[in-house]
Amino acid sequence: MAFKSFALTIVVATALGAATLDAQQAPTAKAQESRRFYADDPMWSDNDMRDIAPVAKDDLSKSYDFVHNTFAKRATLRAPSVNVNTLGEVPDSSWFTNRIGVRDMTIDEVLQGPDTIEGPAPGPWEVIGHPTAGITPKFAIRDANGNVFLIKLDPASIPELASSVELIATKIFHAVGYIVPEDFIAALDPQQLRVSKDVRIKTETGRERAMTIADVHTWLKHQPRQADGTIRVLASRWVPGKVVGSFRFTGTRPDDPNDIYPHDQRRELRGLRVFAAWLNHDDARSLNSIDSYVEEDGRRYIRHYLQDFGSTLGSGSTSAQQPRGGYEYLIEKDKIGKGLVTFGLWQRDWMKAKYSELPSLGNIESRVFDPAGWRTEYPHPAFDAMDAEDGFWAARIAARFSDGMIRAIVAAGKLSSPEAAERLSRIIIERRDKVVRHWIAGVNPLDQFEVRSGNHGPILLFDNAAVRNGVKAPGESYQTSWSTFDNMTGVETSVTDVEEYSEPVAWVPVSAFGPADSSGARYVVATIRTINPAFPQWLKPVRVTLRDRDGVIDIVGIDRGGAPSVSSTTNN
Amino acid sequence: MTRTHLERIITIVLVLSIASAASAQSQDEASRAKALSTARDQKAETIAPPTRSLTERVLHWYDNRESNLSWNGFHLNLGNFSGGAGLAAGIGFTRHAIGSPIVDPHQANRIDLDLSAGRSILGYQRLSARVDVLNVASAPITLSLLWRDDQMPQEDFYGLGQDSSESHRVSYRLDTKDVTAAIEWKPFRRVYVGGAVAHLAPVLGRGTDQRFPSIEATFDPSTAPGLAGLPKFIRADAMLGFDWRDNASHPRSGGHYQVTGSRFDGQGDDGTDFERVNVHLQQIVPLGNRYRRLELRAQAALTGADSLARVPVIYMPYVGGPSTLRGFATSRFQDRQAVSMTAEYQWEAWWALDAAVFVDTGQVQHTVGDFALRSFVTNYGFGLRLHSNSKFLARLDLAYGREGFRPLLGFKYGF
Repeated sequence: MAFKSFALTIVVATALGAATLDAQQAPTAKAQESRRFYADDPMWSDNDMRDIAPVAKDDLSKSYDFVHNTFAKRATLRAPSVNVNTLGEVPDSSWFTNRIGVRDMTIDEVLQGPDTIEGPAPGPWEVIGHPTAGITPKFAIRDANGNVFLIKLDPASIPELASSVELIATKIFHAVGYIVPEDFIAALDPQQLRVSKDVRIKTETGRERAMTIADVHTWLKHQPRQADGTIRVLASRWVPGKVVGSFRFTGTRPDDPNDIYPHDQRRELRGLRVFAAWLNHDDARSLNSIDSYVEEDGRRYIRHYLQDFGSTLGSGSTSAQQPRGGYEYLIEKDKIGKGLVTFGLWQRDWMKAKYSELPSLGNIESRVFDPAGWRTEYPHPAFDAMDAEDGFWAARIAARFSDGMIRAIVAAGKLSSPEAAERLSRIIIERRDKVVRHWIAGVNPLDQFEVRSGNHGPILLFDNAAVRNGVKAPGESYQTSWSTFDNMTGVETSVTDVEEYSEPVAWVPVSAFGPADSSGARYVVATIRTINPAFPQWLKPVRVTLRDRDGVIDIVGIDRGGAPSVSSTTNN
Repeated sequence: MTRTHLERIITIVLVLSIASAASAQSQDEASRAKALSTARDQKAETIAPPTRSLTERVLHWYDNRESNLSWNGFHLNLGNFSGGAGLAAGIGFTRHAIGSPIVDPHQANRIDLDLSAGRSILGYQRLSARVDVLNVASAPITLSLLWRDDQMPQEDFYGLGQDSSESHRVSYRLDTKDVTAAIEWKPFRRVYVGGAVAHLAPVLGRGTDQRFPSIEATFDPSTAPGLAGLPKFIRADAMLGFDWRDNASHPRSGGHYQVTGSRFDGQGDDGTDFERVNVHLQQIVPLGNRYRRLELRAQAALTGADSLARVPVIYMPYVGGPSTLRGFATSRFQDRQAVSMTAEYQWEAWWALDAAVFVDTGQVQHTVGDFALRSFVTNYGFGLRLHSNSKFLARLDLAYGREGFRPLLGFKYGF
């Protein structure tokens, strides 16, 4: 039963996605049985927050996740993302909310992140639990306002490291659009702690007993104190709702009717690889996600969180990041063999990396960092499935974080050393530049399409994202041809010759709009190639569909034609 | 029908049904939102709780299991015997921070207790009890009291001297009951000093290894001192060490230097008294970075005794075995003076696996003046070392010397 449900989920999602994308990809005139565009296209909000019945908790085995993804034979998915709208963008959903990618955000807005409160309230904090999952020393508290937080401790020998990177990553992932917990850097006074009567703890011998305040004080005993005697901690607010497990990066959740897109075909989960590489989030696995069954406006549904960013940038949560982290899977048999037989003459690139001597930065650098070769701890199905279009989508978003914004986010991490803060900011900026440079040019990077009125009729304006982001200097030319499009039949007919412009602009042939569909809208398609010998992949055209509704012309479709997988990380 | 085939059939059926539903739908009412809503409605009809494969169920159990190798401080022991004891098993009991509900590594006057009992298939047996008092008076001082009762029925002996022959191998039994009191103080982070007093009660007897003669068949008390009987001994030690390795369990840089002076005092038999100086030197030299290293080790055990003294064979220094000459059997060469040196080139083949090529050399002599360059015995080898990010786990060395290949599996780094 479960398998049938799983298969059905895959099929439904794939069929819907294919209906959207196949129509977009038609290179020549061909008939379709159904319309390519609906009146509500492009859809910017996917209503996957419909009321559903309660679901059971689905705990993922961390060992299985590792073993399955490392050793199971599986072909890397070579199919485009399916949860995108007709512009190739990710609609808002229970997984993702468009933020900096679609609008300007102020630095204050970015720093505010997901936070709805100021952090743990002053006054007594009641210890209510001691979770054993994960490797970071932590315990749960309820503050005077009744809010619950997970208190995470920095490694005693490397103060500030884990807490700063977790806060920085939380702010960035939130601004990108992911759903993340509210994280705060807080000052803990051990004297403000109380222990709830019903908290149990296991001793070294395996016996269970009531937790005492002495237990908590022992955990805190060797934590470095701040000038006022308090201990710096990361307070991560308990996510709302009932936690019902983690989400997996393949398939769909069989008990969630809202979840119809296979997770390894969700653009935001594939594109997460770009942001994870940027921030060295090598622990971006299912275990570090949360599915929470929430209630909102009378509807109950599953919201999907990313969480636990303690192993990002230079931190490995309980120590500095391992130098291998982000460069090599835990197990790569070809590299093990090569390492054995070459007697140390072959050195991995990461072995040559030089790290700052500043301890609060851990092991993070930007010089050896290779966005294409960056890896999680073990193979990640959604990251492996990422294609150049997913990468382009993510790179455009990453490029929107300004240097000033990054410096402000790092400042929010409250590193006590200004030198460390500046160094870390510089590294994050340099790594951002590298991921943007690598992924923004992987497809024909035409972007920001817009129809305006010209002297002789409407014109189509666009820009080149690679030029806009300084990846290359301007200088290429653009070849454009136009086709009429009948949305009811899917028939597309070429109506103009190819014209070449040196500027990113084209006249819209108003007469080329096809017949009206049932909603009265008419369509025309521009096929645009970018000519630059240094980037042969830019010859693959971007097909832009314009819609005329009552004399108002808008952009309804952007099709980059499917993109080759960029994965260099499969381990099969 | 395989799962893949079933998936394909379901795929075809559903694609056709969705296409058909879409065609039937009024075009005017159609919208993207409605299409997705229809898909969700269809899924709602087939929802089911998540299920796990057998592999996932097994690994889920593994992740969430209670530790099944320990119970209330009791745990399984799988060895702790010297090489050649054979497969061994036993039980142990460990309790940290006795009297305190919390285990705090920095607790003043913390008391740890460790009891163990084990036996091997070759009849080796060990009972031991150890009490440590840590952080005495909040200072970096550790007091230890150790009691051990060992029965080792098949120890090897080849005769004294560098020229001893492999063909003279015999076995002997050594039973010993030792009580040791020790103190160690770390006045600085890298420096430690220590002292110990031990009462040793060894008994040397017939070996039980059926493959080789027992010791008395080949040797006599003049060629195997102690064979005629051993007194009880009082041993007093003084130790000084400097350790600046980056990680004692699995070092990648730094060095460790230790010298120990000991006096063995035969109770009621002055003819067995002797002094011993043990020197251990270890230096790790990174070659460009921490992933390629040259490790140099030198060890010496020098005995000071009257020329007529009967230094017991069981306390005689030796070379041969996992920490000296890996291409030779443990204690292959024994005499009053022993030196050995090792040079090992190590490289990181994998983050959890180092490979190494090594050369060991060593010799034993009756007096220090007898040491000669030409007398060194040498072996070569290749090894693999398994480790975690911070801890050494196991090693496998394949060494080749003039007496053939010798594989060594060990769970301790270096000496």
